[in-house]
Amino acid sequence: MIGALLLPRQFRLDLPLRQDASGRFLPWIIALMVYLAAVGGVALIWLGDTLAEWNATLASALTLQLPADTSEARIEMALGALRQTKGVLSAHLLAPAETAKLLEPWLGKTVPIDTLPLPHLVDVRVNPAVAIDYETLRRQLDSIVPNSQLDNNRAWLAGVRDFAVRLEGLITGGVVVVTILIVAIIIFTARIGLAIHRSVIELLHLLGAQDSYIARQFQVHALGLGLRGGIIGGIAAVVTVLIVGPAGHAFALPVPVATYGILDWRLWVLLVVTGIAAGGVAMLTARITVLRQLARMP
Amino acid sequence: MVRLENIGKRYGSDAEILRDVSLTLESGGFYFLTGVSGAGKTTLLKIIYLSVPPSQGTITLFDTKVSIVDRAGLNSLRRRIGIVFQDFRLVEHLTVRDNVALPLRIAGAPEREIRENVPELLGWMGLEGKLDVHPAQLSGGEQQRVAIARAIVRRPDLLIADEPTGNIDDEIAMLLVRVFERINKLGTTVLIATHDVAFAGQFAHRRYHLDKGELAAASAAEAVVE
Repeated sequence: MIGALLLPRQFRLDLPLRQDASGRFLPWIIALMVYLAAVGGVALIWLGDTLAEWNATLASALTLQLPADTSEARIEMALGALRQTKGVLSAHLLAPAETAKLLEPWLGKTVPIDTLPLPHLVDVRVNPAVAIDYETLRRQLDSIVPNSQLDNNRAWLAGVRDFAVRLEGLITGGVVVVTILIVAIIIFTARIGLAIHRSVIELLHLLGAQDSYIARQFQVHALGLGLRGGIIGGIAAVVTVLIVGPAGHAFALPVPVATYGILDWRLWVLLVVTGIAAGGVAMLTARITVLRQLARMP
Repeated sequence: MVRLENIGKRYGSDAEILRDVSLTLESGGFYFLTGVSGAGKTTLLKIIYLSVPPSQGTITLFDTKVSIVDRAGLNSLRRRIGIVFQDFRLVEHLTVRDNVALPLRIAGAPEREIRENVPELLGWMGLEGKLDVHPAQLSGGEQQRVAIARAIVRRPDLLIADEPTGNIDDEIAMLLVRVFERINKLGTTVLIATHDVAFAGQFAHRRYHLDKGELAAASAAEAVVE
Protein backbone atom coordinates (compact mmCIF):
# COMPACT_ATOMS: atom_id res chain seq x y z
CA MET A 1 0.00 0.00 0.00
CA ILE A 2 1.27 3.47 -0.93
CA GLY A 3 0.26 4.83 2.45
CA ALA A 4 2.47 2.34 4.26
CA LEU A 5 5.47 3.89 2.59
CA LEU A 6 4.56 7.24 4.08
CA LEU A 7 4.70 6.05 7.67
CA PRO A 8 8.22 6.98 8.73
CA ARG A 9 9.56 3.55 9.64
CA GLN A 10 12.98 5.00 10.14
CA PHE A 11 11.63 7.11 13.00
CA ARG A 12 12.12 4.94 16.05
CA LEU A 13 9.15 4.87 18.40
CA ASP A 14 9.85 3.94 22.00
CA LEU A 15 6.13 3.32 22.44
CA PRO A 16 4.63 0.41 20.47
CA LEU A 17 2.06 2.67 18.85
CA ARG A 18 2.35 0.93 15.49
CA GLN A 19 1.01 -2.25 17.05
CA ASP A 20 -2.15 -0.53 18.29
CA ALA A 21 -5.45 -1.46 16.67
CA SER A 22 -6.01 2.23 15.92
CA GLY A 23 -3.22 2.06 13.35
CA ARG A 24 -5.32 -0.33 11.31
CA PHE A 25 -8.68 1.46 11.25
CA LEU A 26 -7.75 5.11 11.69
CA PRO A 27 -6.27 5.69 8.20
CA TRP A 28 -9.48 4.39 6.62
CA ILE A 29 -11.67 6.64 8.76
CA ILE A 30 -9.45 9.61 7.93
CA ALA A 31 -9.50 8.53 4.26
CA LEU A 32 -13.30 8.65 4.26
CA MET A 33 -13.29 12.09 5.89
CA VAL A 34 -10.67 13.40 3.49
CA TYR A 35 -12.60 11.93 0.57
CA LEU A 36 -15.72 13.83 1.61
CA ALA A 37 -13.74 17.02 2.19
CA ALA A 38 -11.87 16.70 -1.12
CA VAL A 39 -15.03 16.03 -3.12
CA GLY A 40 -16.57 19.01 -1.33
CA GLY A 41 -13.54 21.10 -2.29
CA VAL A 42 -13.83 20.01 -5.91
CA ALA A 43 -17.51 20.89 -5.85
CA LEU A 44 -16.69 24.35 -4.51
CA ILE A 45 -14.19 24.99 -7.29
CA TRP A 46 -16.55 23.55 -9.89
CA LEU A 47 -19.33 25.79 -8.59
CA GLY A 48 -17.09 28.84 -8.73
CA ASP A 49 -15.97 28.02 -12.26
CA THR A 50 -19.50 27.42 -13.46
CA LEU A 51 -20.81 30.63 -11.95
CA ALA A 52 -17.95 32.61 -13.46
CA GLU A 53 -18.64 31.00 -16.83
CA TRP A 54 -22.34 31.75 -16.66
CA ASN A 55 -21.67 35.29 -15.48
CA ALA A 56 -19.31 35.93 -18.36
CA THR A 57 -21.75 34.49 -20.91
CA LEU A 58 -25.06 35.78 -19.66
CA ALA A 59 -23.96 39.20 -18.46
CA SER A 60 -22.92 40.09 -21.99
CA ALA A 61 -26.11 38.86 -23.63
CA LEU A 62 -29.70 40.13 -23.73
CA THR A 63 -32.74 38.77 -25.42
CA LEU A 64 -35.44 41.00 -26.89
CA GLN A 65 -38.73 39.27 -27.55
CA LEU A 66 -41.21 40.97 -29.93
CA PRO A 67 -44.81 39.80 -30.50
CA ALA A 68 -45.37 37.58 -33.54
CA ASP A 69 -47.50 40.16 -35.34
CA THR A 70 -44.89 42.97 -35.16
CA SER A 71 -44.38 44.63 -38.51
CA GLU A 72 -40.96 44.63 -40.15
CA ALA A 73 -40.81 48.42 -39.92
CA ARG A 74 -41.26 48.36 -36.15
CA ILE A 75 -38.74 45.54 -35.84
CA GLU A 76 -36.21 47.67 -37.72
CA MET A 77 -36.99 50.66 -35.48
CA ALA A 78 -36.45 48.52 -32.39
CA LEU A 79 -33.16 47.22 -33.79
CA GLY A 80 -32.10 50.79 -34.55
CA ALA A 81 -32.93 51.90 -31.01
CA LEU A 82 -30.89 49.05 -29.60
CA ARG A 83 -27.87 49.73 -31.83
CA GLN A 84 -27.86 53.39 -30.81
CA THR A 85 -27.81 52.55 -27.12
CA LYS A 86 -24.44 53.05 -25.49
CA GLY A 87 -22.93 49.70 -24.46
CA VAL A 88 -24.77 47.64 -27.05
CA LEU A 89 -22.28 45.92 -29.34
CA SER A 90 -24.69 44.20 -31.72
CA ALA A 91 -28.36 43.37 -32.21
CA HIS A 92 -29.18 40.39 -34.42
CA LEU A 93 -32.69 39.33 -35.38
CA LEU A 94 -32.88 35.54 -35.33
CA ALA A 95 -34.10 33.98 -38.54
CA PRO A 96 -37.20 31.70 -38.21
CA ALA A 97 -34.91 28.68 -38.74
CA GLU A 98 -32.69 29.77 -35.81
CA THR A 99 -35.74 30.26 -33.58
CA ALA A 100 -37.05 26.84 -34.61
CA LYS A 101 -33.72 25.25 -33.70
CA LEU A 102 -33.87 26.81 -30.24
CA LEU A 103 -37.34 25.35 -29.69
CA GLU A 104 -36.54 21.95 -31.11
CA PRO A 105 -35.50 20.40 -27.76
CA TRP A 106 -38.96 21.19 -26.36
CA LEU A 107 -41.22 20.77 -29.38
CA GLY A 108 -39.36 18.09 -31.32
CA LYS A 109 -38.71 17.92 -35.05
CA THR A 110 -42.13 16.77 -36.11
CA VAL A 111 -44.04 19.96 -35.16
CA PRO A 112 -44.38 22.39 -38.13
CA ILE A 113 -42.87 25.37 -36.34
CA ASP A 114 -43.43 27.77 -39.24
CA THR A 115 -47.18 27.46 -38.66
CA LEU A 116 -46.93 28.59 -35.04
CA PRO A 117 -47.26 32.26 -34.00
CA LEU A 118 -43.73 32.45 -32.62
CA PRO A 119 -42.36 35.76 -31.32
CA HIS A 120 -39.42 37.45 -33.04
CA LEU A 121 -36.22 37.05 -31.03
CA VAL A 122 -33.33 39.50 -31.09
CA ASP A 123 -29.95 38.40 -29.75
CA VAL A 124 -28.28 41.47 -28.25
CA ARG A 125 -24.60 41.56 -27.29
CA VAL A 126 -23.53 44.17 -24.76
CA ASN A 127 -20.31 45.32 -23.18
CA PRO A 128 -20.57 44.14 -19.54
CA ALA A 129 -18.25 46.96 -18.49
CA VAL A 130 -20.78 49.61 -19.55
CA ALA A 131 -23.73 50.29 -17.26
CA ILE A 132 -26.92 50.25 -19.32
CA ASP A 133 -30.11 51.82 -18.03
CA TYR A 134 -32.40 48.89 -18.75
CA GLU A 135 -35.57 50.57 -17.48
CA THR A 136 -35.20 53.48 -19.91
CA LEU A 137 -34.33 51.07 -22.72
CA ARG A 138 -37.37 48.90 -21.90
CA ARG A 139 -39.70 51.92 -21.97
CA GLN A 140 -38.19 53.11 -25.26
CA LEU A 141 -38.62 49.68 -26.87
CA ASP A 142 -42.16 49.36 -25.50
CA SER A 143 -43.08 52.67 -27.09
CA ILE A 144 -41.84 51.33 -30.43
CA VAL A 145 -43.27 47.82 -30.09
CA PRO A 146 -45.94 47.46 -27.43
CA ASN A 147 -45.69 44.24 -25.34
CA SER A 148 -42.01 43.73 -26.18
CA GLN A 149 -39.91 42.00 -23.50
CA LEU A 150 -36.27 42.71 -22.78
CA ASP A 151 -34.68 39.99 -20.71
CA ASN A 152 -31.21 40.72 -19.31
CA ASN A 153 -30.97 37.39 -17.35
CA ARG A 154 -30.18 39.28 -14.15
CA ALA A 155 -33.08 38.00 -12.08
CA TRP A 156 -32.25 34.44 -13.11
CA LEU A 157 -28.54 34.92 -12.41
CA ALA A 158 -29.31 36.46 -9.01
CA GLY A 159 -31.33 33.37 -8.09
CA VAL A 160 -28.54 31.08 -9.23
CA ARG A 161 -25.97 33.11 -7.27
CA ASP A 162 -28.11 32.96 -4.15
CA PHE A 163 -28.41 29.19 -4.53
CA ALA A 164 -24.65 28.90 -5.12
CA VAL A 165 -23.84 30.90 -1.98
CA ARG A 166 -26.07 28.61 0.08
CA LEU A 167 -24.49 25.57 -1.50
CA GLU A 168 -21.00 26.92 -0.79
CA GLY A 169 -21.97 27.49 2.82
CA LEU A 170 -23.29 23.94 3.04
CA ILE A 171 -20.11 22.44 1.56
CA THR A 172 -17.86 24.61 3.74
CA GLY A 173 -19.88 23.55 6.76
CA GLY A 174 -19.40 19.93 5.71
CA VAL A 175 -15.63 20.40 5.45
CA VAL A 176 -15.61 21.99 8.93
CA VAL A 177 -17.61 19.07 10.35
CA VAL A 178 -15.22 16.59 8.73
CA THR A 179 -12.24 18.42 10.26
CA ILE A 180 -13.89 18.40 13.69
CA LEU A 181 -14.56 14.67 13.34
CA ILE A 182 -10.90 14.00 12.47
CA VAL A 183 -9.83 16.04 15.51
CA ALA A 184 -12.28 14.16 17.76
CA ILE A 185 -11.11 10.76 16.50
CA ILE A 186 -7.45 11.66 17.00
CA ILE A 187 -8.13 12.96 20.52
CA PHE A 188 -9.96 9.74 21.36
CA THR A 189 -7.19 7.59 19.86
CA ALA A 190 -4.41 9.53 21.58
CA ARG A 191 -6.13 9.19 24.94
CA ILE A 192 -6.54 5.46 24.43
CA GLY A 193 -2.87 5.24 23.42
CA LEU A 194 -1.84 7.07 26.58
CA ALA A 195 -3.89 4.70 28.72
CA ILE A 196 -2.61 1.56 26.97
CA HIS A 197 1.04 2.59 27.16
CA ARG A 198 0.93 4.26 30.54
CA SER A 199 3.57 1.98 32.08
CA VAL A 200 6.10 2.69 29.30
CA ILE A 201 5.31 6.40 29.48
CA GLU A 202 5.96 6.35 33.22
CA LEU A 203 9.24 4.56 32.55
CA LEU A 204 10.25 7.19 29.99
CA HIS A 205 9.48 9.90 32.53
CA LEU A 206 11.61 8.12 35.14
CA LEU A 207 14.44 7.98 32.62
CA GLY A 208 14.12 11.75 32.31
CA ALA A 209 12.05 12.11 29.14
CA GLN A 210 10.41 15.50 28.79
CA ASP A 211 6.73 15.62 27.88
CA SER A 212 7.66 16.93 24.44
CA TYR A 213 9.77 13.80 23.81
CA ILE A 214 6.78 11.55 24.55
CA ALA A 215 4.37 13.80 22.65
CA ARG A 216 6.69 13.59 19.61
CA GLN A 217 6.17 9.84 19.50
CA PHE A 218 2.41 10.28 19.29
CA GLN A 219 2.55 13.17 16.83
CA VAL A 220 4.87 11.35 14.41
CA HIS A 221 2.61 8.31 14.56
CA ALA A 222 -0.50 10.47 14.03
CA LEU A 223 1.20 12.31 11.16
CA GLY A 224 1.88 8.99 9.44
CA LEU A 225 -1.70 7.80 9.92
CA GLY A 226 -3.12 11.16 8.81
CA LEU A 227 -0.97 11.29 5.68
CA ARG A 228 -1.85 7.70 4.85
CA GLY A 229 -5.57 8.44 5.22
CA GLY A 230 -5.17 11.73 3.37
CA ILE A 231 -3.51 10.14 0.38
CA ILE A 232 -6.02 7.29 0.17
CA GLY A 233 -8.97 9.69 0.48
CA GLY A 234 -7.41 12.14 -1.99
CA ILE A 235 -6.82 9.46 -4.60
CA ALA A 236 -10.39 8.21 -4.18
CA ALA A 237 -11.63 11.77 -4.67
CA VAL A 238 -9.59 12.16 -7.86
CA VAL A 239 -10.97 8.90 -9.22
CA THR A 240 -14.49 10.08 -8.42
CA VAL A 241 -13.92 13.40 -10.17
CA LEU A 242 -12.47 11.69 -13.22
CA ILE A 243 -15.53 9.44 -13.45
CA VAL A 244 -18.19 12.01 -12.61
CA GLY A 245 -16.60 15.05 -14.34
CA PRO A 246 -17.21 14.00 -17.98
CA ALA A 247 -20.74 13.02 -17.07
CA GLY A 248 -21.48 16.75 -16.69
CA HIS A 249 -21.54 17.02 -20.47
CA ALA A 250 -24.47 14.64 -20.57
CA PHE A 251 -26.75 17.25 -19.00
CA ALA A 252 -26.40 19.43 -22.11
CA LEU A 253 -26.92 22.61 -20.14
CA PRO A 254 -27.70 25.75 -22.16
CA VAL A 255 -24.47 27.41 -21.02
CA PRO A 256 -20.98 25.94 -20.69
CA VAL A 257 -20.31 24.03 -17.47
CA ALA A 258 -16.73 23.84 -16.21
CA THR A 259 -15.63 20.23 -15.83
CA TYR A 260 -12.53 18.85 -14.29
CA GLY A 261 -9.80 17.20 -16.22
CA ILE A 262 -6.78 15.31 -14.98
CA LEU A 263 -4.59 18.12 -16.30
CA ASP A 264 -6.28 20.74 -14.13
CA TRP A 265 -3.53 21.79 -11.71
CA ARG A 266 -6.08 22.75 -9.05
CA LEU A 267 -7.12 19.12 -8.72
CA TRP A 268 -3.58 18.16 -7.77
CA VAL A 269 -3.16 21.12 -5.45
CA LEU A 270 -6.38 20.05 -3.74
CA LEU A 271 -5.10 16.47 -3.44
CA VAL A 272 -1.80 17.61 -1.90
CA VAL A 273 -3.45 20.17 0.39
CA THR A 274 -6.07 17.75 1.74
CA GLY A 275 -3.43 15.07 2.31
CA ILE A 276 -1.08 17.44 4.10
CA ALA A 277 -3.97 19.03 6.00
CA ALA A 278 -5.15 15.63 7.25
CA GLY A 279 -1.63 14.78 8.40
CA GLY A 280 -1.14 18.22 9.92
CA VAL A 281 -4.47 18.23 11.76
CA ALA A 282 -3.80 14.71 13.09
CA MET A 283 -0.27 15.61 14.18
CA LEU A 284 -1.21 18.86 15.92
CA THR A 285 -4.23 17.30 17.61
CA ALA A 286 -2.16 14.38 18.90
CA ARG A 287 0.56 16.71 20.20
CA ILE A 288 -1.82 19.04 22.02
CA THR A 289 -3.88 16.16 23.45
CA VAL A 290 -0.85 14.24 24.69
CA LEU A 291 0.84 17.30 26.19
CA ARG A 292 -2.34 18.21 28.05
CA GLN A 293 -2.80 14.66 29.33
CA LEU A 294 0.85 14.29 30.33
CA ALA A 295 0.69 17.52 32.32
CA ARG A 296 -1.84 15.75 34.56
CA MET A 297 0.47 12.80 35.14
CA PRO A 298 2.94 12.86 38.06
CA MET B 1 24.49 14.67 46.51
CA VAL B 2 21.22 13.48 48.10
CA ARG B 3 19.78 14.91 51.28
CA LEU B 4 16.45 13.82 52.73
CA GLU B 5 15.11 15.76 55.68
CA ASN B 6 12.20 14.53 57.79
CA ILE B 7 10.60 12.65 54.92
CA GLY B 8 7.17 11.15 55.53
CA LYS B 9 4.96 9.30 53.10
CA ARG B 10 1.34 8.28 53.32
CA TYR B 11 -1.00 7.24 50.49
CA GLY B 12 -4.38 8.81 51.10
CA SER B 13 -5.70 7.88 54.51
CA ASP B 14 -3.61 4.70 54.74
CA ALA B 15 -1.04 4.20 57.46
CA GLU B 16 2.23 6.06 57.12
CA ILE B 17 4.79 4.14 55.04
CA LEU B 18 7.70 6.39 55.94
CA ARG B 19 8.10 8.51 59.06
CA ASP B 20 10.59 11.27 59.65
CA VAL B 21 13.33 9.78 57.49
CA SER B 22 16.48 11.86 57.20
CA LEU B 23 19.58 10.68 55.42
CA THR B 24 22.43 11.92 53.31
CA LEU B 25 24.21 10.23 50.42
CA GLU B 26 27.59 11.77 49.79
CA SER B 27 28.92 12.13 46.27
CA GLY B 28 30.90 9.05 45.22
CA GLY B 29 29.60 6.98 48.13
CA PHE B 30 28.36 3.39 48.10
CA TYR B 31 25.34 2.65 50.26
CA PHE B 32 23.07 -0.22 51.15
CA LEU B 33 19.50 0.39 52.23
CA THR B 34 18.35 -2.62 54.20
CA GLY B 35 15.07 -3.61 55.75
CA VAL B 36 12.58 -6.43 55.67
CA SER B 37 9.94 -6.60 53.00
CA GLY B 38 7.35 -3.88 53.66
CA ALA B 39 9.76 -1.68 55.62
CA GLY B 40 9.37 1.10 53.06
CA LYS B 41 12.59 0.65 51.06
CA THR B 42 10.97 0.82 47.63
CA THR B 43 8.88 3.85 48.61
CA LEU B 44 11.99 5.61 49.86
CA LEU B 45 13.81 4.80 46.61
CA LYS B 46 10.81 6.08 44.60
CA ILE B 47 10.98 9.34 46.50
CA ILE B 48 14.70 9.63 45.78
CA TYR B 49 14.35 8.89 42.07
CA LEU B 50 11.41 11.31 41.90
CA SER B 51 8.70 8.81 41.04
CA VAL B 52 6.47 9.85 43.93
CA PRO B 53 6.53 13.02 46.03
CA PRO B 54 6.85 12.77 49.80
CA SER B 55 3.88 13.73 51.95
CA GLN B 56 6.20 15.80 54.08
CA GLY B 57 9.83 16.75 54.38
CA THR B 58 12.32 18.11 51.87
CA ILE B 59 14.57 16.49 49.28
CA THR B 60 17.72 18.02 47.93
CA LEU B 61 19.15 16.32 44.86
CA PHE B 62 22.42 17.42 43.30
CA ASP B 63 22.27 20.64 45.34
CA THR B 64 18.78 21.38 44.02
CA LYS B 65 15.76 21.60 46.29
CA VAL B 66 13.26 19.37 44.49
CA SER B 67 10.16 21.15 45.82
CA ILE B 68 10.95 24.32 43.90
CA VAL B 69 11.77 22.61 40.60
CA ASP B 70 9.24 22.66 37.75
CA ARG B 71 8.21 19.66 35.65
CA ALA B 72 10.98 20.08 33.08
CA GLY B 73 13.50 20.54 35.87
CA LEU B 74 12.38 17.31 37.52
CA ASN B 75 12.99 15.43 34.28
CA SER B 76 16.46 16.99 34.04
CA LEU B 77 17.22 15.75 37.54
CA ARG B 78 15.90 12.28 36.66
CA ARG B 79 18.33 12.09 33.76
CA ARG B 80 21.18 12.18 36.27
CA ILE B 81 19.85 9.09 38.02
CA GLY B 82 20.20 5.50 36.81
CA ILE B 83 17.60 3.06 38.13
CA VAL B 84 17.65 -0.73 38.20
CA PHE B 85 14.06 -1.66 38.96
CA GLN B 86 13.19 -4.73 40.93
CA ASP B 87 11.14 -6.03 37.98
CA PHE B 88 13.67 -4.57 35.48
CA ARG B 89 10.93 -2.73 33.52
CA LEU B 90 12.44 -3.44 30.13
CA VAL B 91 10.35 -2.32 27.15
CA GLU B 92 9.15 -5.55 25.59
CA HIS B 93 8.83 -4.41 21.98
CA LEU B 94 12.32 -2.87 21.89
CA THR B 95 15.48 -4.86 21.31
CA VAL B 96 18.18 -5.09 23.95
CA ARG B 97 20.15 -2.50 22.01
CA ASP B 98 17.22 -0.05 21.92
CA ASN B 99 16.35 -0.63 25.57
CA VAL B 100 19.86 0.29 26.61
CA ALA B 101 19.91 3.22 24.19
CA LEU B 102 16.73 4.73 25.67
CA PRO B 103 18.40 7.06 28.19
CA LEU B 104 20.81 8.25 25.50
CA ARG B 105 18.03 8.99 23.04
CA ILE B 106 16.00 10.75 25.71
CA ALA B 107 19.05 12.90 26.43
CA GLY B 108 19.36 13.67 22.72
CA ALA B 109 22.68 11.85 22.19
CA PRO B 110 23.74 11.54 18.56
CA GLU B 111 23.05 8.16 16.90
CA ARG B 112 26.76 7.75 16.16
CA GLU B 113 27.51 7.85 19.88
CA ILE B 114 24.71 5.34 20.53
CA ARG B 115 26.02 2.99 17.82
CA GLU B 116 29.47 3.04 19.42
CA ASN B 117 28.70 3.03 23.13
CA VAL B 118 25.77 0.65 23.48
CA PRO B 119 27.39 -2.46 21.92
CA GLU B 120 30.57 -1.74 23.87
CA LEU B 121 28.70 -1.57 27.17
CA LEU B 122 26.63 -4.67 26.39
CA GLY B 123 29.86 -6.48 25.54
CA TRP B 124 31.23 -5.45 28.91
CA MET B 125 28.09 -6.90 30.49
CA GLY B 126 28.57 -10.17 28.61
CA LEU B 127 25.65 -9.60 26.26
CA GLU B 128 27.50 -9.03 22.99
CA GLY B 129 25.46 -11.67 21.16
CA LYS B 130 22.11 -10.39 22.40
CA LEU B 131 21.97 -6.90 20.94
CA ASP B 132 19.08 -7.48 18.59
CA VAL B 133 16.92 -9.84 20.61
CA HIS B 134 13.91 -8.82 22.63
CA PRO B 135 13.76 -9.02 26.44
CA ALA B 136 11.31 -11.94 26.38
CA GLN B 137 13.99 -14.04 24.71
CA LEU B 138 16.45 -13.50 27.59
CA SER B 139 16.89 -15.32 30.87
CA GLY B 140 16.16 -13.49 34.13
CA GLY B 141 19.86 -12.91 34.75
CA GLU B 142 20.37 -11.52 31.26
CA GLN B 143 17.38 -9.23 31.63
CA GLN B 144 18.87 -7.92 34.85
CA ARG B 145 22.17 -7.18 33.12
CA VAL B 146 20.28 -5.30 30.39
CA ALA B 147 18.50 -3.32 33.11
CA ILE B 148 21.85 -2.48 34.71
CA ALA B 149 23.34 -1.53 31.35
CA ARG B 150 20.40 0.81 30.72
CA ALA B 151 20.87 2.36 34.16
CA ILE B 152 24.57 3.10 33.71
CA VAL B 153 24.80 3.85 29.98
CA ARG B 154 24.81 7.60 30.61
CA ARG B 155 27.23 7.34 33.54
CA PRO B 156 24.66 8.70 35.99
CA ASP B 157 25.64 10.70 39.03
CA LEU B 158 23.46 8.43 41.17
CA LEU B 159 22.70 4.75 40.59
CA ILE B 160 19.78 3.21 42.46
CA ALA B 161 19.12 -0.54 42.44
CA ASP B 162 16.01 -2.02 44.04
CA GLU B 163 16.62 -5.58 45.31
CA PRO B 164 19.06 -6.48 42.52
CA THR B 165 20.21 -9.54 44.49
CA GLY B 166 16.71 -10.66 45.42
CA ASN B 167 16.28 -13.75 43.28
CA ILE B 168 19.83 -14.87 42.54
CA ASP B 169 22.25 -17.06 44.46
CA ASP B 170 24.94 -15.57 46.69
CA GLU B 171 27.81 -16.14 44.28
CA ILE B 172 26.12 -14.23 41.42
CA ALA B 173 24.89 -11.61 43.87
CA MET B 174 28.46 -11.09 44.97
CA LEU B 175 29.59 -10.66 41.36
CA LEU B 176 26.77 -8.20 40.81
CA VAL B 177 27.86 -6.06 43.73
CA ARG B 178 31.39 -6.13 42.30
CA VAL B 179 29.94 -4.72 39.05
CA PHE B 180 28.28 -1.93 41.04
CA GLU B 181 31.56 -1.30 42.83
CA ARG B 182 33.34 -0.88 39.49
CA ILE B 183 30.69 1.62 38.44
CA ASN B 184 31.11 3.36 41.78
CA LYS B 185 34.85 3.65 41.20
CA LEU B 186 34.07 5.63 38.04
CA GLY B 187 32.51 8.29 40.27
CA THR B 188 28.85 7.24 40.44
CA THR B 189 27.15 7.26 43.82
CA VAL B 190 25.48 3.88 44.37
CA LEU B 191 22.48 3.02 46.53
CA ILE B 192 21.39 -0.62 46.69
CA ALA B 193 18.23 -1.69 48.47
CA THR B 194 18.13 -5.24 49.83
CA HIS B 195 16.12 -7.14 52.38
CA ASP B 196 19.18 -9.32 53.11
CA VAL B 197 20.91 -7.57 55.98
CA ALA B 198 23.48 -10.33 56.34
CA PHE B 199 24.42 -10.10 52.67
CA ALA B 200 24.88 -6.34 52.88
CA GLY B 201 26.98 -6.84 55.99
CA GLN B 202 29.60 -8.68 53.96
CA PHE B 203 30.66 -5.44 52.33
CA ALA B 204 32.48 -2.52 53.84
CA HIS B 205 29.92 -0.03 52.63
CA ARG B 206 27.67 2.33 54.51
CA ARG B 207 24.24 1.02 55.44
CA TYR B 208 20.92 2.59 56.24
CA HIS B 209 18.38 0.30 57.84
CA LEU B 210 14.65 0.89 57.60
CA ASP B 211 12.28 -0.63 60.12
CA LYS B 212 8.53 -0.08 59.72
CA GLY B 213 9.07 3.12 57.80
CA GLU B 214 11.62 4.61 60.13
CA LEU B 215 15.37 4.61 60.02
CA ALA B 216 16.52 2.12 62.64
CA ALA B 217 16.14 3.34 66.18
CA ALA B 218 19.81 2.78 66.78
CA SER B 219 21.92 5.89 66.80
CA ALA B 220 22.88 7.31 63.46
CA ALA B 221 26.49 6.40 64.07
CA GLU B 222 25.55 2.75 64.56
CA ALA B 223 23.00 2.65 61.82
CA VAL B 224 25.46 3.98 59.31
CA VAL B 225 28.31 1.54 59.41
CA GLU B 226 31.59 2.25 57.69
